Amino acid sequence: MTRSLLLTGLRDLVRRPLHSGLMVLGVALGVAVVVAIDLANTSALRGFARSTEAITGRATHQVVGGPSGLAQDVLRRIRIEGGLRASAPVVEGYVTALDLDRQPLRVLGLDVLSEGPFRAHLGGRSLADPGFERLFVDEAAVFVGAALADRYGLSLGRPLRVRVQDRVETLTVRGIIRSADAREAASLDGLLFMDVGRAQRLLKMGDRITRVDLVASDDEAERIAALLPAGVRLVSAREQAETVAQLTEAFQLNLTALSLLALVVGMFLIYNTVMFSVVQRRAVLGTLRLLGVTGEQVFALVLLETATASALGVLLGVGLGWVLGQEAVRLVTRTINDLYYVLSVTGAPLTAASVGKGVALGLGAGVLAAVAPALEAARVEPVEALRPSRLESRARRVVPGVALGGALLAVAGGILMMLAGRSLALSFAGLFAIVLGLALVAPLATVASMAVAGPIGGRLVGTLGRLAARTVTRSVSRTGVAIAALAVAVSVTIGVGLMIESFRSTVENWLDLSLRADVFISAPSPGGTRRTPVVSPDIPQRVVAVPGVEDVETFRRVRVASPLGEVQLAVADPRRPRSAAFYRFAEGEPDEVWERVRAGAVLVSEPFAFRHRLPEAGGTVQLQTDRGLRSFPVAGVFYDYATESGLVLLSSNVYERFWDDRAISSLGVYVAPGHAIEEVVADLRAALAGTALQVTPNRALRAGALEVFDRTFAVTQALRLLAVIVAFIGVWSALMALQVERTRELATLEVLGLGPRQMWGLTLLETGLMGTVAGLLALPLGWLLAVILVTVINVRSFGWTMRLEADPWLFVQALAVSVVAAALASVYPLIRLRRRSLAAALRSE
Amino acid sequence: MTSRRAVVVALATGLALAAVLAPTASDRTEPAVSRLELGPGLDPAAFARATAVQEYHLPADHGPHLEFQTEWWYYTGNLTASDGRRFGFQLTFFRRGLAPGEPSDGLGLTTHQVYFAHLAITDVAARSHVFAERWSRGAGGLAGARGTPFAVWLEGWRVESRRADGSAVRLVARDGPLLLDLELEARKPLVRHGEQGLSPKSDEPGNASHYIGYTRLSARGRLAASSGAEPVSGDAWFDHEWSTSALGAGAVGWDWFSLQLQDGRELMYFQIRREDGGVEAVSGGTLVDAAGDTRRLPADAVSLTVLDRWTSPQTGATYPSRWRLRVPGEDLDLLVAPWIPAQEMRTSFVYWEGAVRVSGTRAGRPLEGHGYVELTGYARSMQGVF
Amino acid sequence: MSRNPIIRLDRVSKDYTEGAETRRVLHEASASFAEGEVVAIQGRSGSGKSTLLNLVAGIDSPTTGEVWVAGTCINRLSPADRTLFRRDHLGFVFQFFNLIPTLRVLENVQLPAELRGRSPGEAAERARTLLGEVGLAGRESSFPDRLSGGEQQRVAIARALVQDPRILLADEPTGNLDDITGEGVMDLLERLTRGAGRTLVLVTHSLQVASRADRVHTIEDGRVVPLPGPRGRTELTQVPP
Repeated sequence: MTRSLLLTGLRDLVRRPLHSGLMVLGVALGVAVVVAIDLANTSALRGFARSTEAITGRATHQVVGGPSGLAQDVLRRIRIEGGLRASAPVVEGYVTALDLDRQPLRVLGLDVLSEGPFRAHLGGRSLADPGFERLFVDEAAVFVGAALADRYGLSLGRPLRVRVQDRVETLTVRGIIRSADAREAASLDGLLFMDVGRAQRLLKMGDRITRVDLVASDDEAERIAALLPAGVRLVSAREQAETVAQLTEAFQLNLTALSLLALVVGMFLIYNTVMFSVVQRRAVLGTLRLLGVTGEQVFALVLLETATASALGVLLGVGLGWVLGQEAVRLVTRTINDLYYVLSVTGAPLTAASVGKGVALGLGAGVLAAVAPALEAARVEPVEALRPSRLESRARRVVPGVALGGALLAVAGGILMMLAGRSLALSFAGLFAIVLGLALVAPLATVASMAVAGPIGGRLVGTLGRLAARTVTRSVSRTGVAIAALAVAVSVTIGVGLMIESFRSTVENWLDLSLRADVFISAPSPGGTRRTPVVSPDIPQRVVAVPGVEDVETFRRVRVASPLGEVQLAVADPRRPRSAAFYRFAEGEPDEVWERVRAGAVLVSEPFAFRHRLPEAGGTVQLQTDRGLRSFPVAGVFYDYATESGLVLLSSNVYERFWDDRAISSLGVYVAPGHAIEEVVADLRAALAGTALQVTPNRALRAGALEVFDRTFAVTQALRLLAVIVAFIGVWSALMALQVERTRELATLEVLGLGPRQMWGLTLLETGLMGTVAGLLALPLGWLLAVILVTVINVRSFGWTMRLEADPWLFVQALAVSVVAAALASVYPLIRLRRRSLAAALRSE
Repeated sequence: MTSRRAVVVALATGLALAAVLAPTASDRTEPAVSRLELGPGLDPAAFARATAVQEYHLPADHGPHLEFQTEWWYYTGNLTASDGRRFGFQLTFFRRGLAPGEPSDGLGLTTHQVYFAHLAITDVAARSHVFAERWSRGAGGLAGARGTPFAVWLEGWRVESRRADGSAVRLVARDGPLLLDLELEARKPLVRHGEQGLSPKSDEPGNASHYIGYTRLSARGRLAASSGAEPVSGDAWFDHEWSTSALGAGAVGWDWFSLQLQDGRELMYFQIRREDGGVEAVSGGTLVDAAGDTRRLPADAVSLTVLDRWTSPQTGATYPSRWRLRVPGEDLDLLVAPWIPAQEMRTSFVYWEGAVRVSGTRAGRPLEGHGYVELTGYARSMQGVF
Repeated sequence: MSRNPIIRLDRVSKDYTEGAETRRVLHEASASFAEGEVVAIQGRSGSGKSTLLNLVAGIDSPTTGEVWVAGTCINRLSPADRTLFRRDHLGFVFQFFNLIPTLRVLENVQLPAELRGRSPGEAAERARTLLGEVGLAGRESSFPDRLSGGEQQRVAIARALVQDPRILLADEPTGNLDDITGEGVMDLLERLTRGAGRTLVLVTHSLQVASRADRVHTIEDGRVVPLPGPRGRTELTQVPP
């Protein structure tokens, strides 16, 4: 390609800043969203990996027990009887740092004398170092990482107030670890190091510890495993970490899929702008061909132009994505904290991988979107320089074929979804195929609906009405695409909106069913559902003593191990059976089911049954108890939306039989009739003053749960909005292009007497028609999307059953958005038109 | 510029920009040193100091004295196998208090006491010296000491009483190829070194330790240095000292001799060396006669001359390696020489502890013997450590 | 002037600025055309004749001077009002026909009537009549791209007349047609204007076309001057006995 040829292309970009700007913007927005979400996901994953590293150190295996940990004597057995010296006791727990933005912090209680093989930054210190002994001797000494210390201005000797379980304690910073290795330094963030014995005291573990870390060969590990008492097992350190990582997989995949959607809508924008430029320059391209430029060179020219604009867009998008990413990181981390586990992510540095992804996707999307217009440009005959022909008739011929192709794609997507089984990636691919396929039907739908709208318009408004309809049809290669983009964006709004609405109402109903006590008492968890804090055993008596309290129910939430991985166990009071609406497949009446549960059966939540493919009837669940591995028959499956990893429900008498843990996680209080709930709440608060326990009336708890729900979908809502904005820009650019193309025609009309108001009316009619078609297409597409999201995607992601609720208001809103967006898009083009000189317009091509 | 070059330049610029925009060093691992910032330590004034003579009650005083900061139970011995091959052994249990006493409740792994132990076996014929060190906190059954009945343990290494008063014990220690399993029986009554057990280490009051022990015990059992365990027998020495910052200011270390002579007597002598090259005036020793009666030896009663030196190839420290020790008042003229020169203990702190042979005369008549010599402060000053 | 001037240009100047240069196309040009006249403005390309026509049509505004059409000084009107004025009083025929390609022949013709406010039914009726007059009855439902050049121009003429304007302006009406077709179009134009009492101002480069007018002008030094030599039928008929 010669220099001058390239120059024509690049100068053209410069000379049309608005048009080039739109291309840049399209790529920039798509890339920004992809980069932002990728940043958030990557940072979350890294934060998780780091924290795991810091927790696990270099341990190859871990010896763990049940919810109440294991006796510290196991360490003696391992080290003395087993002779394995590379063994270290670990005590872990969570606290909330009340003075540090109420940040949840992980307490890691270690024996520094054992830690040599495990953690570089603590081992190898001499006890001769003055100040080190404080870790052992001081009641509440902690060591912190430099990052945490610097962020909150923690100096040596500084007191640190934390909430532990149901009380408030004051710790003291006695050491600051300054790690020169950036990776190690980051892994220390969010951790409080304590002496293992002091940590036992703080977390009221008596003479029990959380686990014993080992560095052992597989043979040694086997030998040690044989020494362990019942209820204590040896696991590989890697396994533990993997289990937790899987939790957020589905959530993060959902986010990535949505971000890709934004990119796709951006591609529509690019296609439109490039196509317009090709159409506009038909005569120039024809002249080039006349001069001897080959079709391939024209093709390359168009692609190069787009690539240049895309490159600019990528730069802008990466920068914008980094900015957005900081917020996205915050939102994603907060959601993970709320729903899954405590995660400390500070800052989202832009990694080469994220940038690379953004660059590749941005350039790729831009060039891909320009392929069709570039092909069109390559096909321009030299004769077009002399006599401009009609591009659109060719486009019109292609429309039915495209629609057919789209329909086939949609069907293929449907089949893919059916065959995808549990694969979430394939399900999403199928969903994309369906949406794109149906979007490709939009041009045909446009032509068809304009054929109907024309005569109607003619009857209502006269020739101008018919003109409007036929104008839309004439430029179907642009209007059709713009309508498709708008339809997709609006349908996503509908689909996702419906899904969230349905989800929310299902959760609301479920909350009604599951939260039955009038008042709940619990120690606020520092974060996530992974660790449940513990209520002192004297609390229930104090609660019962409060006037107005009729009954008190105790709950326990623990994590126990099983061959299926870590399982969340809910221990319920056996006295209160649940209603039938709670179950999905119960064998028999609720009372019967509950009898079986009291006798030793368990109930499992939907996600659990889905994830572990339990049969509908007669399944069993194996759990690691303090008496060894036991098998429990499953009596029913219940609805649960609090945890997507699944829950197993057990009666407390059964729990006490197999586990030694007697702690309480929370209490449910039933108020006697005739007493006002608010009063009882106030009395309870007074009775429990001095502890860190929270007393929450039922209504407030429900509201809180829904708040978490809403927060979780904040990111989704944001992406939804973004998709609409990008589509709006696409429609706007299409309209701009159209108006410019019709300059002469519009000038003629003005000469013929088309007044300004009539001009507005004509334009608004055209855009209104486009918006209406897009909106009408979006309605069934959006509904289909919602159905798929609710019945397929959500089930395959999390295993939840939701009731699909159709809020008619949502549909009306979406249609209105569509029409208004299209109408608004016509404002600027019209204004620009008014300013143009009529005489010049008449003469333009 | 051709268009192809333009494209290349554009790509290069783009990549360069991307590199600038992506400031990550996250996956580069550099060898780095962590620093641990610590605050001021605890005041050792909280600990008790050895200031007064007291009575010792056995077996209780064989046990730990938690109100003092530093304590050790020290066993050494010269053994021979059935074929006459000589061995030396050392098994010492150290206790370091981080704060006096123990934390209020006995639960959990909290502790104020840290224990560590050294095991060393010298195989004279093979000219080998192998040592091992272990650390543990004094909690959870991992390490500890007790008076009634007397026992000291650190993981698998232990001292167990065989007699209620602690005058007969069993030593067990194993590490890799090293094995020690001995039954020890005291041949003489308890010896109180210094002034009835109060052994001053510098002129200042309080810079002293309580120092008791058995200077001669019969040893019988099994030992392994590199290969299989074999039966051995011989003589052993037991020291038990406890104190709080015994060394005075300016002291860098000590040379300590424990010699068991053929005529049934034992000699203990130590001198504390100062920075300025001099020796503390309180240096001295104890002479124990065949019946077990003791006589205190002040520094001026003993003359010690260094005849040779040995430099450790690993640490570069130079130790004295042969001595002439004379006690004119007893007519003793002894030559003390290590069975092998390389008996350096490269543990958390570096010192030399080795089995030695004694040859010389008493009142002109030849006298043989064996023992152990300990040399500290040659690799690094012992200030602050003990 | 025996009849009232329906079009009058009063010392009209028109400048065009391109970058730093200013080109004066019309310089204090004055002219007046009587009602019912057929006037031709002939000249080379770029002489300013189209500019003159645009000024009369109100498509463009003079830099100085006044343009009076049917008793109204149109350059003092706002562009919106000019459009309305144009709608009510003028018909325009373009060189490139400028038919709306997405409207059928009948719809093209009836559009201006609808724009003025007539009901679609009435407008269609009127359009049909006119199409008959230009000889294209039966082609109402065809799209413009199906018609020949001459047929398209005839539709354009019908469209220009659907509002029954007093004045018809034609910018190179035969410029895109061959001679014979052009003659046919000119016959039609003459019949529908002079024959109906309408004023026709046409701009052309062809002397042959210009000779069919009553008077022929040209633009010299920015002024409207009669073409030298006897041209135009009026002059030609004024042959001295």
